[in-house]
Amino acid sequence: MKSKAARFAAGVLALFVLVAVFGPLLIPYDSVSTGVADRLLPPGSTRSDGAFAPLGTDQLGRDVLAQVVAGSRVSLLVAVTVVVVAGLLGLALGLLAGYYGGWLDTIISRIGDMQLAFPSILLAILLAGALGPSLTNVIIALAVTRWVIFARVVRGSALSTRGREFVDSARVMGAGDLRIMARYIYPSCVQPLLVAATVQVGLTMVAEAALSFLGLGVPIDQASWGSTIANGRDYLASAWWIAAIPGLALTLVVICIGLLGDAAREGADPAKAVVR
Amino acid sequence: MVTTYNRRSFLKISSIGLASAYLAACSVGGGDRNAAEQALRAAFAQPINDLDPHGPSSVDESTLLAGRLIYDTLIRRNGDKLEPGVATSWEQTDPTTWVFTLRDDVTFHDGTPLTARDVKASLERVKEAGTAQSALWTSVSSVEATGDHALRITTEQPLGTMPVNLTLMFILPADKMDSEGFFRKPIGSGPFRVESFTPSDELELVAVDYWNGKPKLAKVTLPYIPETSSQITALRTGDLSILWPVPPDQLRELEGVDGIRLETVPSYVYYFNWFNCGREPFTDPRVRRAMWRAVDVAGIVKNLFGAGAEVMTAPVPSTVFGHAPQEPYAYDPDAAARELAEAGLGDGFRTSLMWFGDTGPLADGLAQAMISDWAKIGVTVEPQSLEKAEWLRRLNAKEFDMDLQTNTVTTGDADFTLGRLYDSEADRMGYRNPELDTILRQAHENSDRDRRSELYSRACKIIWEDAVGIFPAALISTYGLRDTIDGFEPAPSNQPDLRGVTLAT
Repeated sequence: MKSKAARFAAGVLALFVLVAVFGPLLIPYDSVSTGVADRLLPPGSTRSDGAFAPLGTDQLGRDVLAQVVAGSRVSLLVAVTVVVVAGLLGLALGLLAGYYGGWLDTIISRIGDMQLAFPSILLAILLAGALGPSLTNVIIALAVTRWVIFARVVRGSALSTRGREFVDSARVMGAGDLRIMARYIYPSCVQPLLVAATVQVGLTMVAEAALSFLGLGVPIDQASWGSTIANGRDYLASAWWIAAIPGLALTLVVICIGLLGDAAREGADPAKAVVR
Repeated sequence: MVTTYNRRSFLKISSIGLASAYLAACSVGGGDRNAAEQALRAAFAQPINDLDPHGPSSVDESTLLAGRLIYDTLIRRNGDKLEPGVATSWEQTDPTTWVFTLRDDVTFHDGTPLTARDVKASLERVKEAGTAQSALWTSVSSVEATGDHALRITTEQPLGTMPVNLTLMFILPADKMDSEGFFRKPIGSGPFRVESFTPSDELELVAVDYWNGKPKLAKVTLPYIPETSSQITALRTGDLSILWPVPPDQLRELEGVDGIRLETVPSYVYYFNWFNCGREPFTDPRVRRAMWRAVDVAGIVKNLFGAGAEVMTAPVPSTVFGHAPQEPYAYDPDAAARELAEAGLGDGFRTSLMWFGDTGPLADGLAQAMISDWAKIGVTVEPQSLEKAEWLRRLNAKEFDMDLQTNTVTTGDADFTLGRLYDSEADRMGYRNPELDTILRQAHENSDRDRRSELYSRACKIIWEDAVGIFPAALISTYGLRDTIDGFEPAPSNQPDLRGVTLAT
């Protein structure tokens, strides 16, 4: 993390994580309670019960700030869980495919290719639609669409490592397949896996927002940036703050993750490492 | 050798060029405007999926809207009155027999004359179709064409709603209506013929010489624009000349805009929130009444809908025949909690509410506002915002605790909703009341207006006091019109008659 941009991005993301973890404790959001008397108040208004609404209220009189804070938790939770689940699945399948090769590789890689032939958001929409709206189902739907990316990265690394001398010597020493995979091949896959993961965190957040925007994401009684944006889309001309504020938050976080991902890739590049 | 021009001649040449381009543009523009003068683009907020007026969409507002323009009915509705359509006169010769005389100058768009045989075939088709409209015709036992322009309908029981029901019965050509692909470009006898039709996208209509006078518009296009914000933009830019209904929250975007005026009319559309009276704990009317008292109906309707809806005073909107105002349920959460305690539910309970987002304007908001109020008396309601097909399946299978939806009294007569939905036989929400059944059946069979009105006022009272559902809001339809539109009459049914409409220059 050398550049100023990367440091800035890391700062923003740290703030975002703090807000997601502790924000809902400070600014509680009750999705059930509505206040139709205070609907569509612009940012900086005072509600009829005297409470201050720094970012205004939505069409049901719920506080937009509280909604965005509650939405950040959903975004973070979904993004991290999806990347962990899909990453582990991809790691396991990628290692198997790359290390053993042959028919196992063919099956895993071809299934992956078939899946990549679908636009991933389309597949997620299909799965989310079939499973119904719930947080778990969103995670399942997105994890299913993401594992291929990780599997490909890991397979590539495993493929290039398995022919190396130290792997051969381990085999000569009588090490089992499992041990070789865990001790000798896995370490070489970690770096590219982490780079892929940072990029995927951002993409997953966007995908979750897209699903929620389409009404296939989190249920109506939970806040998510995507669903808040969807709620506000009919009010763009009269109450821009409903859609604009979560939209801004999403954009900022995704850009910062992208910057951080770039920095991580540069750090991981062997060519650069030699120069350094 | 290169020709050189001095400054003066260059200006001369270029100004001639510019002038001719300008003139050319003028003539093209003028031509466009002439065509636009007679062509109307009008958008209804819901898509037209099907032009079959007897099929599964037979009581969908969008299909009825198109049907009114393309087909004819025996009898038309004009405000509160019924007036002759294809039938010039009708008479109930005895309680179960109706005799009709038809016009002899009505032709279909392909030139063939409309006869009693076509009416007979159409009525039999809709009766057999097994759709929401078929329910209106179950007691019809025979339809006879007694001459080319004379018709006799016999029913098993007296059918007092016959004339009103006939305002929905569209007449199709008997020989062609069952042919393959007929409804892709159907033939009717109405004021407009179908030029082209793409389901859920666009319907193009062209005026014909109608027996009741040729429409003033030459062409009508009914596009479907899915997003509310795009609809509003299209009206503002002049791409659309009429848009209806404008959702309540978008009114302020159109109010005071140059070149646009808004016309409102109380509609036949209203929201209800049914309780599944066959499921615990809603089998107990005390619980249902407590649920109603717990909701600040007046406050929610005022704040959420503003000028877009009015608080209901009966289980049908005030525009409908058979409406009788009832005593409103006052908002009183304490009384509601006490009533729940009396019913043995002092600790509250868990239940669910299902709806689909597009059922009407602000449906999500209305549902969540009610859920919020119920939470205050300790009733936890799981919100189930479903996809339309799933919602419909569960509604028909009675798999719900509570159901929020809009409903349209399509005929403008209480029989269409009260008689159809609250009868024990229909069994739509598990409510059974023999006394109500008797009243509804009498009203269904009677053709005396005063008697029916009295019967429906009793029916309204029973449904209201037993709180079969909560009846929050009757919608007010707002039509957004460009100033170029003249002669437009807003219709409470959301099916405006476009025959008298003209576009100003």
